[in-house]
Amino acid sequence: MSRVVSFEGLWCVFEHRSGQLVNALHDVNFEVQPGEFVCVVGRSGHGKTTLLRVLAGLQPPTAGQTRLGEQVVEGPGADRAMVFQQDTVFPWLHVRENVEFGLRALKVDDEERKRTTAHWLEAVGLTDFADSWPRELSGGMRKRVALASAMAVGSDVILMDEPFGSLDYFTRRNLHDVLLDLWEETQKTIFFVTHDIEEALILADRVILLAEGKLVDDIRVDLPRPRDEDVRASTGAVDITKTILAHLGITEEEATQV
Amino acid sequence: MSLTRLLRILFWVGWVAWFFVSALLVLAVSTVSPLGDWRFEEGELHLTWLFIFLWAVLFWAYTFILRFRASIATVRKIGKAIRGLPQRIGRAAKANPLFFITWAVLLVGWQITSYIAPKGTLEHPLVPGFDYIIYNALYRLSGNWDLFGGFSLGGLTVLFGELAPFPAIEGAESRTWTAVFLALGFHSFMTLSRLVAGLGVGLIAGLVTGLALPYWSALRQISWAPFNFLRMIPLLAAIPWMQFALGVDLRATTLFIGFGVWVMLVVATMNAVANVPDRYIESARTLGASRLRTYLKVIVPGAMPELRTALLLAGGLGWSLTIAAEFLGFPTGLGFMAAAAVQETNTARLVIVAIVVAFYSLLTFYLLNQLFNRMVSWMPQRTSGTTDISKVAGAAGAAGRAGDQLHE
Repeated sequence: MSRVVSFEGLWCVFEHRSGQLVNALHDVNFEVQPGEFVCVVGRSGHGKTTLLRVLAGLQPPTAGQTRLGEQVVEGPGADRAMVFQQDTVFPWLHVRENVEFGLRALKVDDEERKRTTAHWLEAVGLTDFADSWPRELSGGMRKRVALASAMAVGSDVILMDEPFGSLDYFTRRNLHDVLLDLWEETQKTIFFVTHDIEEALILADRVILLAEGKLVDDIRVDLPRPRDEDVRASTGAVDITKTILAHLGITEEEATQV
Repeated sequence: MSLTRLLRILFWVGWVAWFFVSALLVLAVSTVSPLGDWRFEEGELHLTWLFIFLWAVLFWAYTFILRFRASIATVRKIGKAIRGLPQRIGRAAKANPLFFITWAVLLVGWQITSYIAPKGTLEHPLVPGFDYIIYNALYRLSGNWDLFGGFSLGGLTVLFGELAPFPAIEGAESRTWTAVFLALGFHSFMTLSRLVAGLGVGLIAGLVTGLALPYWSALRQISWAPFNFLRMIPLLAAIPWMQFALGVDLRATTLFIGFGVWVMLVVATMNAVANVPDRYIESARTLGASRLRTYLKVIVPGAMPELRTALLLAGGLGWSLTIAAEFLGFPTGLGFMAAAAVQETNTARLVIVAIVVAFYSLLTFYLLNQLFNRMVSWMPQRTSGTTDISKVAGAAGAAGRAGDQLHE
């Protein structure tokens, strides 16, 4: 029951405290096919998170609409589970209960719930920590719990808002592998917001570039998987990086200086 | 169904039934009974005690039959703790010598001050030394036992006299240490019963209201004006009014203490609810949780950590209000003892009351903390007041830092 996700003439205007109006999203139009891995890339404050929150139903757009297939998004729901940038694992529930949370909300019967929970705990490698408190886990492990919780509710679209931003390099690379395995297994559509071009190159089928709330480019990433160091050093990958940097208004010299 | 389970259910059913019937009986024997002219005759008052007795039998049967091993283990544990006390104190003194030094300085300082301070114009010294407190004021407390004869909480007057398993002590000549402890015990019991009733009502009402108001905005809009009006009433000014309305009995104190605790707890609970991080709520919503489920399963548990402070403050407030209520017009309780001491300008007895109340307050504080730790077993367990900043930064901070990094 995978569905096409479409953004149609999406505007999102915020009013600053000073009374000044800011276009977080500026007439965004695009469509995403089922099973695609889309990275939304842009500078900080240029509408990436807003785009994701509108799709999640947490932020009503000022104009335009978002659709899943024929259904217009009107509020949050389990068909668009989200993994947040911050730590959203509930500290008052054991790891297992965290993964079960969405399933209980959906009133899945006991047996099915237990099976699904066990499956996703194993998929993210946390079976041995099912009865731990979240505070006993590392930041990376808590992200795995959040990922398992989102996967468990069985949505066909997963939204990820810089989920690995606060983690160290090695943990992040490890979680990329976990995420890609899950994606290949489930064929879910994934929206992944990041400001890290390398991360986008590792993960994405397609990169949506946002600048000042406008969709400035829609880039196909036709690199072979797995995207190891050699692939990312290939001419194709370097060209994509250059395109992205150019769109973001960063010259190559600036980039190497950073 | 196993016998154990049956007995356990029977115990709880009996306990709840006992609670309600006793409450009804207390109401029935009150001087100003809401049940009108229907009151118990003196003989029938024993029914109350029969109920209390039955409950006690049930309770001990439950404890000793069903939880025999656990009871023995508890007794052993307590014995071990008492035997190990000197060692523990020694270790604590080594770990935190300043704590003991402070106490020693305060106590010795008080005693020295009592020798050099001017006696003042009162009958008793302004700064009574410990020798004076113990041999003069504490011993004379046995005089408060006499009040038993004149004491009245509805019909309970007669009962205490009838059931007291010791001869009544009359006159100043018959002072004994037994009477001292009876007097302290009796007045403590009266104060504690008022505190428990008032605090119980206040805590439950406060938590329920504080959690209900944020959920229903209509309820909030309706109640906001009257609530804030009630909040502004000076509590001490309300004491005489409560006495006029309800008389000097348990219902008046319960209402008064309950009201004070309720007001504070509603504000604190609503604050705690408002401070639950948005990210938990949004996460729950995207996982498909309804509004009600999000409230009950995310916001309520998420608000618990902040409620610790509120609960402890409520305990302290409960004590202040109980003592204040007794001070202003009850013929029994620790507050009454203080009031009587003030009238006799008996400074030493005031010190005794202060020490006793401080002891009970600490005990309440400890029990509320234990209750709280049970409620939030998911949090790193911590006793308020023992937080070491350097340790917190390492343990709790690490979890917080990972999550709380600023997003764009």
